[in-house]
Amino acid sequence: MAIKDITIGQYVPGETPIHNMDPRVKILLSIVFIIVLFIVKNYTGYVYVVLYIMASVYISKVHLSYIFKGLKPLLAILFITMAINMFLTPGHTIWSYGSIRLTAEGLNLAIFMSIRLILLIVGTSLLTLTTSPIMLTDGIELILSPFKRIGVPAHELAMMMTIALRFIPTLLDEADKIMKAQMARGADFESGNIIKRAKAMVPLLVPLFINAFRRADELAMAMEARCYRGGENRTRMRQLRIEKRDYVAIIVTIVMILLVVMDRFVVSL
Amino acid sequence: MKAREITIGGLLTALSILIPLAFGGVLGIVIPPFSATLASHVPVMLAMLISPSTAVFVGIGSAIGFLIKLGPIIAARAAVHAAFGYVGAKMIQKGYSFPVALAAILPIHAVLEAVVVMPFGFDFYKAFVVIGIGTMIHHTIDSLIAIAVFYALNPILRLRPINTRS
Repeated sequence: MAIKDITIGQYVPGETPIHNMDPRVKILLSIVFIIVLFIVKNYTGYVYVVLYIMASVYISKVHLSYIFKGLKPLLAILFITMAINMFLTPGHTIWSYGSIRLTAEGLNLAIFMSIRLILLIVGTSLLTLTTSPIMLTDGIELILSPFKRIGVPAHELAMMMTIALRFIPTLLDEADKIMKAQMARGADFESGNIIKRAKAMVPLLVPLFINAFRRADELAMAMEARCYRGGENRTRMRQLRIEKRDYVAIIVTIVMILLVVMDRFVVSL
Repeated sequence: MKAREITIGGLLTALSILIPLAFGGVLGIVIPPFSATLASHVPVMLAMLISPSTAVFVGIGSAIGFLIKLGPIIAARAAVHAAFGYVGAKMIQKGYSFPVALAAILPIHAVLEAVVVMPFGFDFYKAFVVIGIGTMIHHTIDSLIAIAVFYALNPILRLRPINTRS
């Protein structure tokens, strides 16, 4: 198996306005986007959301193949969701074969749910495609900072995420080396049923975890030697600033929300 | 928090993100709509031995990592690990053994993973029967792996709950 072929992160470097937005704004707008998807109740509402996301993708200059790549792992879920909704929703039958019944309402619901799922994945993919993992971590820490007052350890969580992201490539390399060393001694990781493969993982996992714990101890010692004492009173090398492009994005998002909300409640009247 | 708790949490979070990515081809099971990678719960399970806060952080960290790499549905299921990790870590702090804690949190894990996928369009049957039972089996296998890794690790590293008050 080719561990090294794994793409570390989905970040696609670029210098577009969306790449350069403050990560806090991008994260919050992504959360708002997800909420809007569950507010939409008809297809005209989706028109506004689709236009919004298409404009975002266009401005970010992220190639469409990356967007589709984000959708691929969930095609199975998508198809099953569609099938369940098409055939199990009560309503007016438009086609049947034996006990299988396709209803107009089911077909409509299947399409609706699928659009929602696709937009959900495209929206969150865009966030991770245009924001580096370290910037995401910075954004998350600053978003969580106000909650420190009620005991949420924002700094510790952000520090842990930064350490995790930094060590993923290192540990991947190590896993690859350990796997090859064990295979050189006769270990077989790829044949047999799933239970045998799980057992075969132990000679790989044990050294991997031992090395991880040793690295953790060494890193903790090094951090303390450099006077790390936790989040209080620390300054920040990289400052985040909200700029004009962030305000523009916020305004456009508010307009989109207003259109969706008006559309929903006008139809309800 | 001590620096050591943060660094151990960071490394275990890295492993919990890494294992599905690196070994998904070998240990991955996909029975739509259920998908899982054996051994992917082991880092969270071992984090329970450090402290409750480390277990929660590894669960949350892996959820954030999965959102970055695999999308929201997998991330939502990973976030559940913070909850069972916390309960398990508390049990270990109170003196229960590692295997007992792992067995006790199995139903919590299965039910929560089933519940958390429902907003994404899974109906009741798919959520509880497929995801729930699949998670129980997955949890059991990973518990056995975690126990094997724990007994192999412990003589070398002497893992024990860190008293965060000292």
